[in-house]
Amino acid sequence: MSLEVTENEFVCILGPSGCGKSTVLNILSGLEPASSGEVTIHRPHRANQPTIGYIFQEPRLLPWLRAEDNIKFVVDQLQLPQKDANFRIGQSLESVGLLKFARAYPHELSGGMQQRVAIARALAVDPHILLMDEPFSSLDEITARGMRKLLLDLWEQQKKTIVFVTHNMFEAAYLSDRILLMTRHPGTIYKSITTGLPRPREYEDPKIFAVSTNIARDFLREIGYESETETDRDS
Amino acid sequence: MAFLSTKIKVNHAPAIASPDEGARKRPAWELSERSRFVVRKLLGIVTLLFLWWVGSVILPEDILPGPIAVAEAFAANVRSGVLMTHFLDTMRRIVFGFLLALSGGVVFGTAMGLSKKIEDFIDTWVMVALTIPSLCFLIVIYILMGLNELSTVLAIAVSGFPAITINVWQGVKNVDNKLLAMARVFNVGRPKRFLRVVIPQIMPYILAASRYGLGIVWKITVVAELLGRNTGIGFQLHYWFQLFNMPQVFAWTLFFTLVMLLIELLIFKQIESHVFHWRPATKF
Repeated sequence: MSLEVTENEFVCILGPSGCGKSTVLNILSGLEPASSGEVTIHRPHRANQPTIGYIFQEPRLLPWLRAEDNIKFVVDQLQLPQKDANFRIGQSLESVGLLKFARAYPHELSGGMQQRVAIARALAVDPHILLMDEPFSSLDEITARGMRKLLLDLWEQQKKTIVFVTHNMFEAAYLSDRILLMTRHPGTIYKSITTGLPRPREYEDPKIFAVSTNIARDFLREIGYESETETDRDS
Repeated sequence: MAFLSTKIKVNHAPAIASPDEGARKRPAWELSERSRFVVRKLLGIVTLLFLWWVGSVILPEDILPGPIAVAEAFAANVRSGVLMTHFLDTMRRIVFGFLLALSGGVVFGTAMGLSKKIEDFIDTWVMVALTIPSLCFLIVIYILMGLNELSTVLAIAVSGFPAITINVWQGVKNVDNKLLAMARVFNVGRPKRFLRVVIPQIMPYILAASRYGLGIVWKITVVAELLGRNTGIGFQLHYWFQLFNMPQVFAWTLFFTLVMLLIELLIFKQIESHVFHWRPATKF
Protein backbone atom coordinates (compact mmCIF):
# COMPACT_ATOMS: atom_id res chain seq x y z
CA MET A 1 0.00 0.00 0.00
CA SER A 2 1.11 3.55 -0.51
CA LEU A 3 -0.21 6.88 0.63
CA GLU A 4 0.79 10.48 0.30
CA VAL A 5 -0.23 13.31 2.54
CA THR A 6 0.40 16.96 1.69
CA GLU A 7 1.38 19.56 4.24
CA ASN A 8 -1.42 20.80 6.51
CA GLU A 9 -3.81 18.21 5.16
CA PHE A 10 -6.25 16.40 7.43
CA VAL A 11 -6.42 12.79 6.27
CA CYS A 12 -8.51 10.02 7.79
CA ILE A 13 -7.74 6.35 7.38
CA LEU A 14 -11.04 4.57 7.69
CA GLY A 15 -11.57 0.84 7.90
CA PRO A 16 -12.98 -2.04 9.92
CA SER A 17 -11.07 -3.28 12.94
CA GLY A 18 -8.21 -5.61 12.18
CA CYS A 19 -7.42 -4.15 8.78
CA GLY A 20 -4.09 -2.71 9.91
CA LYS A 21 -4.97 0.95 10.36
CA SER A 22 -3.02 1.26 13.58
CA THR A 23 -0.10 -0.60 12.05
CA VAL A 24 0.10 2.08 9.37
CA LEU A 25 0.39 4.75 12.07
CA ASN A 26 2.96 2.73 13.98
CA ILE A 27 5.08 2.44 10.85
CA LEU A 28 4.70 6.15 10.09
CA SER A 29 5.83 7.00 13.61
CA GLY A 30 8.70 4.52 13.61
CA LEU A 31 7.25 2.45 16.44
CA GLU A 32 7.15 -0.65 14.25
CA PRO A 33 9.45 -1.46 11.37
CA ALA A 34 7.86 -1.98 7.96
CA SER A 35 8.35 -5.43 6.41
CA SER A 36 9.45 -3.58 3.29
CA GLY A 37 9.16 -0.12 1.81
CA GLU A 38 9.91 3.28 3.25
CA VAL A 39 8.49 6.42 4.82
CA THR A 40 9.68 9.80 3.60
CA ILE A 41 8.95 13.11 5.29
CA HIS A 42 9.73 16.23 3.25
CA ARG A 43 10.35 19.36 5.25
CA PRO A 44 11.09 22.25 2.94
CA HIS A 45 10.34 24.95 5.54
CA ARG A 46 11.88 23.71 8.73
CA ALA A 47 15.48 22.85 9.37
CA ASN A 48 15.52 20.57 12.42
CA GLN A 49 14.50 16.94 12.82
CA PRO A 50 10.88 16.18 12.06
CA THR A 51 8.80 15.79 15.18
CA ILE A 52 5.77 13.63 15.53
CA GLY A 53 2.86 14.09 17.89
CA TYR A 54 0.92 10.94 18.66
CA ILE A 55 -2.47 10.67 20.28
CA PHE A 56 -3.41 7.15 21.24
CA GLN A 57 -6.75 5.52 21.82
CA GLU A 58 -6.05 5.72 25.55
CA PRO A 59 -4.57 8.85 27.13
CA ARG A 60 -1.32 7.04 28.05
CA LEU A 61 -0.38 9.62 30.67
CA LEU A 62 2.21 8.74 33.26
CA PRO A 63 0.05 8.37 36.38
CA TRP A 64 2.78 9.55 38.77
CA LEU A 65 3.16 12.91 37.04
CA ARG A 66 0.85 15.90 37.22
CA ALA A 67 -0.79 17.03 33.96
CA GLU A 68 1.85 19.73 33.40
CA ASP A 69 4.70 17.33 34.17
CA ASN A 70 3.31 14.81 31.72
CA ILE A 71 3.64 17.47 29.04
CA LYS A 72 7.03 18.56 30.33
CA PHE A 73 8.15 14.94 30.03
CA VAL A 74 7.95 15.12 26.22
CA VAL A 75 8.70 18.84 25.81
CA ASP A 76 12.04 18.32 27.59
CA GLN A 77 13.17 16.28 24.59
CA LEU A 78 13.18 19.45 22.48
CA GLN A 79 15.80 21.05 24.75
CA LEU A 80 14.21 24.47 24.66
CA PRO A 81 15.21 27.19 27.10
CA GLN A 82 13.33 26.78 30.37
CA LYS A 83 11.14 29.81 29.74
CA ASP A 84 10.01 28.72 26.27
CA ALA A 85 9.31 25.21 27.54
CA ASN A 86 7.12 26.50 30.35
CA PHE A 87 5.34 28.81 27.97
CA ARG A 88 4.57 25.92 25.63
CA ILE A 89 3.28 23.74 28.42
CA GLY A 90 0.97 26.49 29.63
CA GLN A 91 -0.16 27.33 26.14
CA SER A 92 -0.94 23.76 25.19
CA LEU A 93 -2.98 23.22 28.37
CA GLU A 94 -4.76 26.50 27.74
CA SER A 95 -5.64 25.42 24.20
CA VAL A 96 -7.49 22.36 25.47
CA GLY A 97 -9.07 24.38 28.29
CA LEU A 98 -7.26 22.64 31.14
CA LEU A 99 -4.94 25.34 32.46
CA LYS A 100 -6.74 25.19 35.81
CA PHE A 101 -5.92 21.50 36.07
CA ALA A 102 -2.21 21.77 35.35
CA ARG A 103 -1.34 20.45 38.79
CA ALA A 104 -3.88 17.61 38.86
CA TYR A 105 -2.82 13.99 38.66
CA PRO A 106 -4.34 11.90 35.84
CA HIS A 107 -6.50 9.88 38.24
CA GLU A 108 -8.13 13.11 39.41
CA LEU A 109 -9.32 13.87 35.88
CA SER A 110 -12.17 12.37 33.89
CA GLY A 111 -11.50 10.22 30.80
CA GLY A 112 -12.26 13.11 28.47
CA MET A 113 -10.01 15.47 30.40
CA GLN A 114 -7.20 12.93 30.37
CA GLN A 115 -7.52 12.64 26.62
CA ARG A 116 -7.38 16.44 26.38
CA VAL A 117 -4.12 16.39 28.33
CA ALA A 118 -2.88 13.82 25.81
CA ILE A 119 -3.86 16.18 22.99
CA ALA A 120 -2.10 19.06 24.75
CA ARG A 121 0.99 16.87 25.11
CA ALA A 122 1.02 16.09 21.39
CA LEU A 123 0.53 19.75 20.47
CA ALA A 124 3.17 20.96 22.90
CA VAL A 125 6.01 19.45 20.88
CA ASP A 126 4.74 21.51 17.93
CA PRO A 127 4.88 18.44 15.69
CA HIS A 128 5.24 18.49 11.92
CA ILE A 129 2.87 15.58 11.79
CA LEU A 130 0.11 14.66 14.19
CA LEU A 131 -0.86 11.00 14.24
CA MET A 132 -4.12 10.04 15.93
CA ASP A 133 -5.21 6.47 16.56
CA GLU A 134 -8.95 6.35 17.26
CA PRO A 135 -8.44 8.96 19.97
CA PHE A 136 -12.12 9.45 20.75
CA SER A 137 -13.45 5.92 20.35
CA SER A 138 -13.34 5.12 24.06
CA LEU A 139 -15.16 8.30 25.06
CA ASP A 140 -18.91 8.66 25.36
CA GLU A 141 -20.60 10.23 22.34
CA ILE A 142 -21.27 13.59 23.99
CA THR A 143 -17.69 14.02 25.14
CA ALA A 144 -16.38 12.73 21.80
CA ARG A 145 -18.40 15.34 19.93
CA GLY A 146 -16.94 18.12 22.01
CA MET A 147 -13.46 16.75 21.43
CA ARG A 148 -13.93 16.55 17.66
CA LYS A 149 -15.04 20.15 17.64
CA LEU A 150 -12.04 21.10 19.77
CA LEU A 151 -9.71 19.24 17.44
CA LEU A 152 -11.06 21.04 14.37
CA ASP A 153 -10.73 24.41 16.11
CA LEU A 154 -7.13 23.66 17.05
CA TRP A 155 -6.36 22.46 13.54
CA GLU A 156 -7.86 25.65 12.04
CA GLN A 157 -5.59 27.72 14.32
CA GLN A 158 -2.38 25.75 14.09
CA LYS A 159 -2.65 24.06 10.66
CA LYS A 160 -0.94 20.75 11.21
CA THR A 161 -0.63 17.73 8.98
CA ILE A 162 -2.89 15.15 10.58
CA VAL A 163 -3.28 11.45 9.89
CA PHE A 164 -6.30 10.27 11.82
CA VAL A 165 -7.27 6.62 12.10
CA THR A 166 -10.88 5.73 12.81
CA HIS A 167 -13.63 3.22 12.14
CA ASN A 168 -16.31 5.85 12.56
CA MET A 169 -17.50 7.04 9.15
CA PHE A 170 -19.28 10.11 10.42
CA GLU A 171 -16.22 11.15 12.36
CA ALA A 172 -14.09 10.77 9.24
CA ALA A 173 -16.52 12.79 7.12
CA TYR A 174 -16.83 15.52 9.74
CA LEU A 175 -13.11 15.95 10.35
CA SER A 176 -11.09 15.33 7.25
CA ASP A 177 -10.23 16.74 3.84
CA ARG A 178 -9.60 13.32 2.43
CA ILE A 179 -10.65 9.85 3.52
CA LEU A 180 -8.67 6.74 2.70
CA LEU A 181 -10.78 3.59 2.78
CA MET A 182 -8.97 0.50 3.94
CA THR A 183 -9.96 -3.16 3.60
CA ARG A 184 -8.60 -6.19 5.36
CA HIS A 185 -7.39 -9.34 3.59
CA PRO A 186 -5.46 -7.73 2.02
CA GLY A 187 -4.90 -4.65 4.16
CA THR A 188 -4.76 -2.02 1.45
CA ILE A 189 -6.26 1.36 0.68
CA TYR A 190 -8.74 0.71 -2.07
CA LYS A 191 -10.15 4.18 -2.44
CA SER A 192 -9.41 7.80 -1.63
CA ILE A 193 -12.33 10.18 -1.23
CA THR A 194 -11.91 13.95 -1.16
CA THR A 195 -14.93 15.17 0.75
CA GLY A 196 -14.82 18.76 -0.54
CA LEU A 197 -17.03 19.88 2.31
CA PRO A 198 -16.68 23.56 3.24
CA ARG A 199 -15.16 24.63 6.56
CA PRO A 200 -15.98 25.52 9.29
CA ARG A 201 -18.27 22.53 9.55
CA GLU A 202 -21.37 22.12 11.62
CA TYR A 203 -22.00 18.80 13.28
CA GLU A 204 -25.62 18.72 12.17
CA ASP A 205 -24.85 19.49 8.51
CA PRO A 206 -26.78 16.94 6.38
CA LYS A 207 -24.01 17.07 3.77
CA ILE A 208 -21.60 15.44 6.25
CA PHE A 209 -24.18 12.81 6.94
CA ALA A 210 -24.58 12.21 3.19
CA VAL A 211 -20.83 11.71 2.78
CA SER A 212 -20.76 9.25 5.65
CA THR A 213 -23.72 7.33 4.23
CA ASN A 214 -22.02 7.10 0.84
CA ILE A 215 -18.89 5.74 2.45
CA ALA A 216 -20.89 3.12 4.29
CA ARG A 217 -22.59 2.05 1.05
CA ASP A 218 -19.24 1.97 -0.71
CA PHE A 219 -17.73 -0.18 2.01
CA LEU A 220 -20.53 -2.70 1.97
CA ARG A 221 -20.30 -2.99 -1.80
CA GLU A 222 -16.54 -3.50 -1.58
CA ILE A 223 -16.16 -5.90 1.30
CA GLY A 224 -19.69 -7.17 1.86
CA TYR A 225 -21.05 -8.04 5.27
CA GLU A 226 -18.71 -9.94 7.55
CA SER A 227 -16.94 -12.39 5.30
CA GLU A 228 -15.86 -14.56 8.22
CA THR A 229 -19.20 -16.37 8.34
CA GLU A 230 -18.70 -17.53 4.76
CA THR A 231 -15.26 -18.83 5.60
CA ASP A 232 -16.79 -20.79 8.46
CA ARG A 233 -19.25 -22.41 6.12
CA ASP A 234 -16.48 -23.46 3.72
CA SER A 235 -14.38 -25.18 6.33
CA MET B 1 -46.45 9.90 44.59
CA ALA B 2 -43.16 9.17 42.92
CA PHE B 3 -41.94 5.61 43.02
CA LEU B 4 -38.35 6.65 43.48
CA SER B 5 -37.17 10.10 44.34
CA THR B 6 -33.70 11.14 45.33
CA LYS B 7 -32.00 14.27 46.43
CA ILE B 8 -28.30 13.98 46.07
CA LYS B 9 -25.60 16.51 46.74
CA VAL B 10 -22.22 15.74 45.30
CA ASN B 11 -19.11 17.47 46.57
CA HIS B 12 -16.53 18.42 44.00
CA ALA B 13 -13.55 16.16 43.42
CA PRO B 14 -10.66 16.91 45.80
CA ALA B 15 -8.52 18.28 42.98
CA ILE B 16 -10.89 21.19 42.48
CA ALA B 17 -12.46 21.68 45.88
CA SER B 18 -10.87 24.00 48.42
CA PRO B 19 -9.63 22.08 51.49
CA ASP B 20 -12.36 23.10 53.94
CA GLU B 21 -15.27 22.76 51.53
CA GLY B 22 -15.94 19.08 52.26
CA ALA B 23 -15.63 19.24 56.05
CA ARG B 24 -18.86 19.02 58.00
CA LYS B 25 -19.59 20.56 61.37
CA ARG B 26 -19.10 18.02 64.11
CA PRO B 27 -20.65 18.19 67.58
CA ALA B 28 -18.27 18.83 70.47
CA TRP B 29 -18.79 15.42 72.11
CA GLU B 30 -17.91 13.48 68.97
CA LEU B 31 -14.30 12.37 68.53
CA SER B 32 -12.56 13.16 65.28
CA GLU B 33 -11.94 10.30 62.85
CA ARG B 34 -8.25 10.43 63.77
CA SER B 35 -8.74 10.07 67.54
CA ARG B 36 -11.30 7.30 67.08
CA PHE B 37 -8.66 5.50 65.05
CA VAL B 38 -6.14 5.91 67.87
CA VAL B 39 -8.64 4.67 70.45
CA ARG B 40 -9.35 1.52 68.43
CA LYS B 41 -5.63 0.84 68.04
CA LEU B 42 -4.96 1.32 71.76
CA LEU B 43 -7.88 -0.91 72.64
CA GLY B 44 -6.37 -3.68 70.52
CA ILE B 45 -3.01 -3.40 72.25
CA VAL B 46 -4.49 -3.22 75.76
CA THR B 47 -6.61 -6.33 75.08
CA LEU B 48 -3.53 -8.22 73.91
CA LEU B 49 -1.60 -7.26 77.06
CA PHE B 50 -4.57 -8.23 79.22
CA LEU B 51 -4.82 -11.68 77.62
CA TRP B 52 -1.11 -12.17 78.19
CA TRP B 53 -1.51 -11.20 81.85
CA VAL B 54 -4.45 -13.58 82.29
CA GLY B 55 -2.38 -16.38 80.74
CA SER B 56 0.57 -15.62 83.03
CA VAL B 57 -1.68 -15.82 86.10
CA ILE B 58 -3.00 -19.23 85.07
CA LEU B 59 0.31 -20.76 83.92
CA PRO B 60 3.48 -21.05 86.08
CA GLU B 61 6.07 -18.30 85.67
CA ASP B 62 8.79 -20.51 84.14
CA ILE B 63 6.42 -21.32 81.24
CA LEU B 64 4.63 -18.04 80.66
CA PRO B 65 6.06 -15.07 82.57
CA GLY B 66 3.80 -12.06 83.06
CA PRO B 67 4.30 -8.57 81.64
CA ILE B 68 5.86 -7.31 84.85
CA ALA B 69 8.51 -10.04 85.14
CA VAL B 70 9.42 -9.47 81.49
CA ALA B 71 9.62 -5.72 81.96
CA GLU B 72 11.96 -6.24 84.92
CA ALA B 73 14.24 -8.51 82.88
CA PHE B 74 14.24 -5.93 80.10
CA ALA B 75 15.09 -3.09 82.50
CA ALA B 76 18.00 -5.11 83.85
CA ASN B 77 19.34 -5.58 80.32
CA VAL B 78 19.07 -1.86 79.63
CA ARG B 79 20.87 -0.95 82.88
CA SER B 80 23.76 -3.35 82.29
CA GLY B 81 24.24 -2.14 78.69
CA VAL B 82 23.88 -5.68 77.34
CA LEU B 83 20.82 -4.74 75.38
CA MET B 84 22.46 -2.05 73.27
CA THR B 85 25.63 -4.04 72.45
CA HIS B 86 23.81 -7.11 71.26
CA PHE B 87 21.07 -5.17 69.55
CA LEU B 88 23.60 -3.15 67.52
CA ASP B 89 25.44 -6.32 66.49
CA THR B 90 22.20 -7.81 65.24
CA MET B 91 21.13 -4.64 63.47
CA ARG B 92 24.47 -4.35 61.70
CA ARG B 93 24.13 -7.89 60.33
CA ILE B 94 20.55 -7.25 59.28
CA VAL B 95 21.34 -3.97 57.54
CA PHE B 96 24.33 -5.28 55.58
CA GLY B 97 22.66 -8.57 54.74
CA PHE B 98 19.49 -6.84 53.65
CA LEU B 99 21.21 -4.19 51.53
CA LEU B 100 23.26 -6.88 49.83
CA ALA B 101 20.15 -8.96 49.13
CA LEU B 102 18.22 -5.92 47.92
CA SER B 103 20.86 -4.65 45.52
CA GLY B 104 21.45 -8.13 44.15
CA GLY B 105 17.72 -8.72 43.84
CA VAL B 106 17.08 -5.43 42.06
CA VAL B 107 19.94 -5.92 39.61
CA PHE B 108 19.09 -9.54 38.79
CA GLY B 109 15.33 -9.01 38.83
CA THR B 110 15.56 -6.04 36.48
CA ALA B 111 17.94 -7.84 34.14
CA MET B 112 15.62 -10.86 34.03
CA GLY B 113 12.57 -8.70 33.40
CA LEU B 114 14.19 -6.73 30.60
CA SER B 115 16.03 -9.51 28.77
CA LYS B 116 14.50 -12.80 27.73
CA LYS B 117 17.94 -14.36 27.33
CA ILE B 118 19.03 -13.54 30.88
CA GLU B 119 15.64 -14.69 32.15
CA ASP B 120 15.91 -18.08 30.46
CA PHE B 121 19.40 -18.52 31.85
CA ILE B 122 18.86 -17.45 35.46
CA ASP B 123 15.26 -18.24 36.34
CA THR B 124 16.07 -21.85 37.28
CA TRP B 125 18.72 -20.62 39.71
CA VAL B 126 16.29 -18.28 41.36
CA MET B 127 13.58 -20.91 41.59
CA VAL B 128 15.99 -23.43 43.13
CA ALA B 129 17.33 -20.81 45.53
CA LEU B 130 13.81 -19.91 46.59
CA THR B 131 13.00 -23.52 47.35
CA ILE B 132 16.11 -24.26 49.43
CA PRO B 133 15.41 -23.53 53.12
CA SER B 134 17.40 -20.55 54.44
CA LEU B 135 18.80 -22.78 57.17
CA CYS B 136 20.56 -24.91 54.53
CA PHE B 137 22.26 -21.86 53.04
CA LEU B 138 23.34 -20.90 56.50
CA ILE B 139 24.84 -24.29 57.33
CA VAL B 140 26.59 -24.67 53.97
CA ILE B 141 28.09 -21.17 54.09
CA TYR B 142 29.23 -21.66 57.71
CA ILE B 143 30.94 -24.90 56.71
CA LEU B 144 32.55 -23.35 53.63
CA MET B 145 33.64 -20.04 55.14
CA GLY B 146 33.79 -20.66 58.87
CA LEU B 147 31.93 -18.95 61.68
CA ASN B 148 32.68 -15.27 61.09
CA GLU B 149 30.92 -11.98 60.38
CA LEU B 150 31.39 -12.17 56.64
CA SER B 151 29.90 -15.63 56.31
CA THR B 152 26.98 -14.57 58.53
CA VAL B 153 26.17 -11.50 56.45
CA LEU B 154 26.56 -13.48 53.24
CA ALA B 155 24.25 -16.24 54.44
CA ILE B 156 21.66 -13.64 55.45
CA ALA B 157 21.92 -11.95 52.05
CA VAL B 158 21.63 -15.22 50.15
CA SER B 159 18.49 -16.08 52.11
CA GLY B 160 16.77 -12.80 51.29
CA PHE B 161 17.93 -12.58 47.70
CA PRO B 162 15.62 -15.02 45.82
CA ALA B 163 12.34 -13.58 47.13
CA ILE B 164 13.43 -10.02 46.33
CA THR B 165 14.62 -11.02 42.85
CA ILE B 166 11.33 -12.69 42.00
CA ASN B 167 9.27 -9.70 43.11
CA VAL B 168 11.34 -7.24 41.13
CA TRP B 169 11.36 -9.56 38.11
CA GLN B 170 7.55 -9.74 38.15
CA GLY B 171 7.41 -5.97 38.51
CA VAL B 172 9.55 -5.37 35.46
CA LYS B 173 7.51 -7.86 33.44
CA ASN B 174 4.35 -5.98 34.37
CA VAL B 175 5.68 -2.68 33.08
CA ASP B 176 3.12 -1.11 30.77
CA ASN B 177 4.45 -1.35 27.21
CA LYS B 178 1.93 1.19 26.04
CA LEU B 179 3.55 3.87 28.18
CA LEU B 180 6.96 2.87 26.85
CA ALA B 181 5.67 3.10 23.28
CA MET B 182 4.35 6.57 24.06
CA ALA B 183 7.76 7.63 25.33
CA ARG B 184 9.44 6.22 22.22
CA VAL B 185 7.09 8.03 19.84
CA PHE B 186 7.96 11.31 21.54
CA ASN B 187 11.68 10.62 21.06
CA VAL B 188 12.44 9.97 24.72
CA GLY B 189 15.82 8.21 24.88
CA ARG B 190 16.52 4.84 26.45
CA PRO B 191 18.10 5.99 29.74
CA LYS B 192 15.27 8.43 30.40
CA ARG B 193 12.68 5.82 29.51
CA PHE B 194 14.21 3.52 32.07
CA LEU B 195 14.46 6.14 34.82
CA ARG B 196 11.16 7.92 34.29
CA VAL B 197 8.87 5.21 32.91
CA VAL B 198 10.18 1.83 34.07
CA ILE B 199 11.50 2.69 37.55
CA PRO B 200 8.32 4.40 38.84
CA GLN B 201 6.33 1.37 37.72
CA ILE B 202 8.54 -1.13 39.51
CA MET B 203 8.85 0.95 42.69
CA PRO B 204 5.79 -0.70 44.28
CA TYR B 205 7.35 -4.10 43.60
CA ILE B 206 10.73 -3.06 44.98
CA LEU B 207 9.04 -1.78 48.11
CA ALA B 208 6.96 -4.94 48.52
CA ALA B 209 10.09 -7.00 47.87
CA SER B 210 11.97 -5.03 50.50
CA ARG B 211 9.33 -5.60 53.15
CA TYR B 212 9.09 -9.26 52.38
CA GLY B 213 12.86 -9.58 52.10
CA LEU B 214 13.41 -7.81 55.41
CA GLY B 215 10.99 -10.21 57.08
CA ILE B 216 13.05 -13.15 55.84
CA VAL B 217 16.35 -11.46 56.66
CA TRP B 218 15.67 -10.61 60.27
CA LYS B 219 14.31 -14.05 61.02
CA ILE B 220 17.31 -15.82 59.54
CA THR B 221 19.66 -13.36 61.27
CA VAL B 222 18.48 -14.57 64.65
CA VAL B 223 19.01 -18.17 63.58
CA ALA B 224 22.48 -17.37 62.21
CA GLU B 225 23.43 -15.81 65.55
CA LEU B 226 22.02 -18.75 67.43
CA LEU B 227 24.09 -21.21 65.37
CA GLY B 228 27.35 -19.47 64.82
CA ARG B 229 27.85 -16.18 66.69
CA ASN B 230 28.50 -15.26 70.28
CA THR B 231 26.83 -11.85 70.16
CA GLY B 232 23.47 -10.56 69.02
CA ILE B 233 19.87 -11.14 69.90
CA GLY B 234 19.87 -14.68 68.50
CA PHE B 235 22.79 -15.54 70.74
CA GLN B 236 21.02 -14.05 73.76
CA LEU B 237 17.87 -16.06 73.01
CA HIS B 238 19.91 -19.22 72.77
CA TYR B 239 21.76 -18.44 75.98
CA TRP B 240 18.65 -17.75 78.06
CA PHE B 241 16.84 -20.67 76.50
CA GLN B 242 19.57 -22.99 77.76
CA LEU B 243 19.12 -21.53 81.25
CA PHE B 244 15.33 -21.85 80.86
CA ASN B 245 14.99 -18.22 81.83
CA MET B 246 11.66 -17.40 80.24
CA PRO B 247 11.42 -13.73 81.31
CA GLN B 248 14.71 -13.05 79.48
CA VAL B 249 13.61 -14.99 76.39
CA PHE B 250 10.42 -12.96 76.33
CA ALA B 251 12.21 -9.68 76.95
CA TRP B 252 14.57 -10.17 74.00
CA THR B 253 11.83 -11.40 71.70
CA LEU B 254 9.49 -8.55 72.51
CA PHE B 255 12.18 -5.94 72.18
CA PHE B 256 13.25 -7.21 68.80
CA THR B 257 9.66 -7.45 67.57
CA LEU B 258 8.98 -3.88 68.63
CA VAL B 259 12.07 -2.61 66.84
CA MET B 260 11.04 -4.37 63.63
CA LEU B 261 7.52 -2.99 63.89
CA LEU B 262 8.92 0.50 64.33
CA ILE B 263 11.10 0.05 61.25
CA GLU B 264 8.03 -1.00 59.31
CA LEU B 265 5.94 1.92 60.56
CA LEU B 266 8.56 4.66 60.54
CA ILE B 267 10.62 3.76 57.50
CA PHE B 268 8.47 1.78 55.08
CA LYS B 269 5.25 3.69 55.67
CA GLN B 270 7.12 6.95 55.18
CA ILE B 271 8.74 5.79 51.96
CA GLU B 272 5.42 4.47 50.75
CA SER B 273 3.48 7.67 51.32
CA HIS B 274 6.32 9.64 49.79
CA VAL B 275 6.72 7.49 46.68
CA PHE B 276 3.05 6.77 46.04
CA HIS B 277 1.46 10.12 46.73
CA TRP B 278 0.11 10.03 43.16
CA ARG B 279 -1.85 6.83 43.71
CA PRO B 280 -5.55 7.00 44.49
CA ALA B 281 -6.62 5.13 47.60
CA THR B 282 -8.11 1.70 46.97
CA LYS B 283 -11.84 1.64 47.51
CA PHE B 284 -13.25 -1.82 47.88
